[in-house]
Amino acid sequence: MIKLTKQLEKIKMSGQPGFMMHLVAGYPDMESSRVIAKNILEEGADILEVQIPFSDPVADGPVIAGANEKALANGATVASSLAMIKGLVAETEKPIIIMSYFNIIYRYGVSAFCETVSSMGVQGLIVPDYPVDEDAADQLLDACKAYDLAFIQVLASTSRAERIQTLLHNATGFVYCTARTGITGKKTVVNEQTLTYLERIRKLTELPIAVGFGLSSKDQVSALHSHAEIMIVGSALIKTYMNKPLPEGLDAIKRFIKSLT
Amino acid sequence: MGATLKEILIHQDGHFGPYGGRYVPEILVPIMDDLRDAFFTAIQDDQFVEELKYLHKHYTGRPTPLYYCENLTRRLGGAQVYMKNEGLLHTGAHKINHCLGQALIAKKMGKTRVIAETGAGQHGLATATVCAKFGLECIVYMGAKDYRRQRPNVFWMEQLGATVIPVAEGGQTLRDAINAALRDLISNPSNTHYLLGTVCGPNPYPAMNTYFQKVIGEETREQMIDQTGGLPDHMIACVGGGSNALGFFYDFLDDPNVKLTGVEAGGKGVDGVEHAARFEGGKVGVVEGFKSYFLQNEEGQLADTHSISAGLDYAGVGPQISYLKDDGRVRFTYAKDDDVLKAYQILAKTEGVFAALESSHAVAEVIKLTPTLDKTKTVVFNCSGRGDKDLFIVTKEMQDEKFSEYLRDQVRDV
Repeated sequence: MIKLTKQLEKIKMSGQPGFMMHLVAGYPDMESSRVIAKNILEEGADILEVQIPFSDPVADGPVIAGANEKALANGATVASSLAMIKGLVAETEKPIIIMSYFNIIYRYGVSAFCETVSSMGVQGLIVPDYPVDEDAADQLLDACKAYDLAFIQVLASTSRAERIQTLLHNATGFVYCTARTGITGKKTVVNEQTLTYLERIRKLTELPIAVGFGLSSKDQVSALHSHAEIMIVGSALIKTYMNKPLPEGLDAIKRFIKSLT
Repeated sequence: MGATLKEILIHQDGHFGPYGGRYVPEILVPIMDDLRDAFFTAIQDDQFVEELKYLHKHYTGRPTPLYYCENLTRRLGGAQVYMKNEGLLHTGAHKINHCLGQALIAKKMGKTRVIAETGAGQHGLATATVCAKFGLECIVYMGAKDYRRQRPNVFWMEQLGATVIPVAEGGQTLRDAINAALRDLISNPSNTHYLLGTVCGPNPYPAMNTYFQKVIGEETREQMIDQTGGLPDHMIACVGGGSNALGFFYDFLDDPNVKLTGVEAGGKGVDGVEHAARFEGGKVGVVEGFKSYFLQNEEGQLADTHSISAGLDYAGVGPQISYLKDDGRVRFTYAKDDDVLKAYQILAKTEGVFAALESSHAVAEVIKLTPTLDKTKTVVFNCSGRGDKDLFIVTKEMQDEKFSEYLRDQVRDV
């Protein structure tokens, strides 16, 4: 995870917000998603989060869930997603992180999955339905450690205090804080409560803080930047190119990313 | 000093051997923790237990009868056949047992809004019923395809004051309704209770719904002793998510002489893909918050399933059921759609009882097993629901021309 560590340091030094941008492998189809990913990296993503599509994406809102469904309907598989990601990693210096629901990893074999993606140069994993409590049986955290992958912990503002401690204890890379109660893809109002929550986390960890869920505008980024190093952009980005022919979609992505900074 | 099966299958931790757990997004963790704490506290409280008993007696209609199927027994010519008739409950199926229990928990937790998923509409209907009774706002998510084909149930839920929301994502069936309900819960964690309708999902749902359903087996034990002087030799139940089977079997899990059989949906045959028999080709996975057997492809994508009965048409099975499968305590088999339809007709003509198509899977196994057993043996099956709800499916399957004509007339009159 050396690429990720270096990039996080660079973001911290710059004093500017870093951006982690998300896309679903295979949406709208595998080749287009590859082109879109390259485009996002060129237009200003500091970290790329590539989601392997899953049939039952419970933590995602309708936009990303719809992209998962479309990707699978258009023939995306775990194997073809990984092949696409492998190609991307080889062509960029920027860190790439895989987001996947746990069943994909479980069926692949926890250790085998970590070995495969680590050898490809992937820097870390985000697994939204894998709480640390289950690690005794499934040992994903150990596998990440063994294969030098960051295991990005997702925190919620409603988590009990002692639980946040446990999560932070097991976090590597950066911590992923959700900015509102809810699922991905609805506009978040940055309020005092959110900022207080981020301040609370800041006191508890040395790791950089990434804030996500519902980010789509510059005013949100400005409001959050003093409290978090990394802005996570997901659904809003997909919305810019969904249901558009590829060239038009790429233009829209460019405009959208410009509008954030 | 090993724990009894009953102890293993209801406890706070929510792991049943390798199965179960609470594989949910972090944002749901505190919600599940609060629900678990509220539930396990409530069942220690005599007042709660008494209130549940009172409502079962005066509102839902417990105890349900255990009935000796004299004509069916004579026809099959083997063991003595008994039916536990949950179909006589208010709303027509065992689902009301956990709906009532969970509504009481929701009230206790100060929740004002209840959400539920439903496939065919039976669980949604039972949820809408208890919400009407307890003055809770009720939102039912239903796949858009189910919403269209189960219009009568949608109408009844609306009459009970519920808002039914069709889910247009995915295959537009039960799975998509579950996903939509989970998303709603994530967005509204403080005032909302998710009334999950089977022994699936993250901890505490499997343990909690088993607790609320185990009354079926407890009554069956008393009634069998009363009527036959002993415990049954065989017990048979259908298995979708597993709520009626676990409720029926639970009290007998530690009586090794009682043989337990679960019947999955064989659909159009387990060699193809049009079935919902998880133990015929399913693999262990983690989906929708729990680890269990699921019908899925090599890479872990959930499979589409098929069954004549909407209630069994689901790719997953409860984690405790998977435990009992591995343990060998319960034998699993399956019944195919055509045998189920025959069983449905046989029970109607011999005993005058319409079993739900789900429960008719159990009847199909009764018909297969009973003739092979000695007359001194007893078989009891769980008629988990009554069959009037299946009117449209059965008439279509039987190609009842007169009924089609009736539907056309009705359309004309509208």
